[in-house]
Amino acid sequence: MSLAFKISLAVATFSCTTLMPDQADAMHISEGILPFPWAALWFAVSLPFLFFAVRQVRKRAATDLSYKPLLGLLTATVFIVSAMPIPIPTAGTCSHPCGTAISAILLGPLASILVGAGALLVQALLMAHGGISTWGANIVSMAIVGSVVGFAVFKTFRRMGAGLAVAAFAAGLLADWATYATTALELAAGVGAPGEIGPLFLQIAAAFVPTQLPIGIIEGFMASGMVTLLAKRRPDMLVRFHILKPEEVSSCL
Amino acid sequence: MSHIETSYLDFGRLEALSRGDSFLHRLDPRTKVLTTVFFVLAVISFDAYTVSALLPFLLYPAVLSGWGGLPVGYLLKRVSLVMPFALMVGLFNPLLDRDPGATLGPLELSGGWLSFASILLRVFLASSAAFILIALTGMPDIALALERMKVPRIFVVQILFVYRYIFVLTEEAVRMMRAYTLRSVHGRRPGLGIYAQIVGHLLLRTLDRARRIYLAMVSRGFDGEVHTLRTFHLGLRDVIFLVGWVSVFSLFRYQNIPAWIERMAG
Repeated sequence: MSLAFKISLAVATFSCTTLMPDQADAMHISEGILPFPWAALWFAVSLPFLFFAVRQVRKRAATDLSYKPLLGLLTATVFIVSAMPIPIPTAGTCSHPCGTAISAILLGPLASILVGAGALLVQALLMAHGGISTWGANIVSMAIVGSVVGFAVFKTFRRMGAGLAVAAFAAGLLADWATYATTALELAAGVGAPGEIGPLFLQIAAAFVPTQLPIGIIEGFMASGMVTLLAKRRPDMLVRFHILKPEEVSSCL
Repeated sequence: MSHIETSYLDFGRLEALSRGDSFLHRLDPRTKVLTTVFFVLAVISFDAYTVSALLPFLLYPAVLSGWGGLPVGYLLKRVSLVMPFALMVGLFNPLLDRDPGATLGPLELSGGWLSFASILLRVFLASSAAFILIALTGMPDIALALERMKVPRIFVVQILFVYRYIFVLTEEAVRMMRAYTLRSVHGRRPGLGIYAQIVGHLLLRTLDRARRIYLAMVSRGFDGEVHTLRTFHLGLRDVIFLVGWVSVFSLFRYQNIPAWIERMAG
């Protein structure tokens, strides 16, 4: 791939995330951007995760009839939250959160992967965010990496004795940044020649910084705010989602 | 607010388009899903500098939007939403990649111009095929087609739930954002604090609604599955449609038709 193509890709990433984020949704890789071998590879990478996600959700739904509608509603919430524009103070524009951290905290990483994959397919078809050919790549970056990192960070912080708000903030922040780092890697791998993926990844990741650095922080506050609100208003839901033990409800904040 | 409200209105329009009655609407959804997948795979399998060999693929969106009675202006508007990314990916190629790529009559085109045109074409073609699929089929039928194609039922049920709830929750989100805008000075967008509260309350309302919907479903006999009266039938016309288009895609993929025409004319 030519040097020109790589430079323009980095410029494109920067332009899309800072100049017209309302029009171009930078966290989804657009339809037709990735060449076939890379599109197929990312889809293959997502398959084992989807297999285990389906198996776990099926098992839980067998014993709890309300699980499927609840999962559907939470998926729709993630879908809508990720379509709501939020202001980016440093760029003076708006962008969109990922929403996967909060679903990973509430549902666990595997169910969250299934939620993310479903939302991505519906977004690709209804809103042209992402695409059929880039579905696998977007599942890996947004659903899998976002969910696994979000959940792991939340659990790690809780085990270290952090409060719900701090743990959720760290989960939202790092899940968002990990998602964008993976998106940058996928773009670099898709358009870079072997051996040049590393430098190109750094270029694209740097181009994401002006919006993604602040939006990661915003996503952290958003996850933290949502978990805190649930702890105040509906602590029973946190118990149901195995985030709190019943005896922790009174001292959770 | 306008973004989410526009999206909401757009979902409604897509839903209305998918209720059309052309013969394409009546085809088995599996046929349309498979044809779209073959089309997209064929388009993305070309290298970054291919332009002329991609041009014949425009036939597919042109023919299907015509036969299906889809508004071309709306199709172009929808596809234009994804074009900025493609435009920016290729925008600087002509300036930076000046190696000779091809000749067009007396003009010599650089590799930069070719890769610029190629990325635009590929994104346009693949995005328009995805739009045509949803506009001719509708999300519920696509989900059911996936189930018949052995996609796990639990995933399909999720997609069906999501599709149903999107309308309800988007309406809820639009109401909340509108209530904020009407009470704010000069209709300004919410700041971060307000935004977080709106999203938090949307989640709370979602959980309450989930409980109400679950109880309503159980009282109507919900047994964990989503049942539908729709039956699908793969007929001769489906086979002809699928085999016909896949043959055309294969021809376009392995024969450069514009170059072939040029040779014939020359």
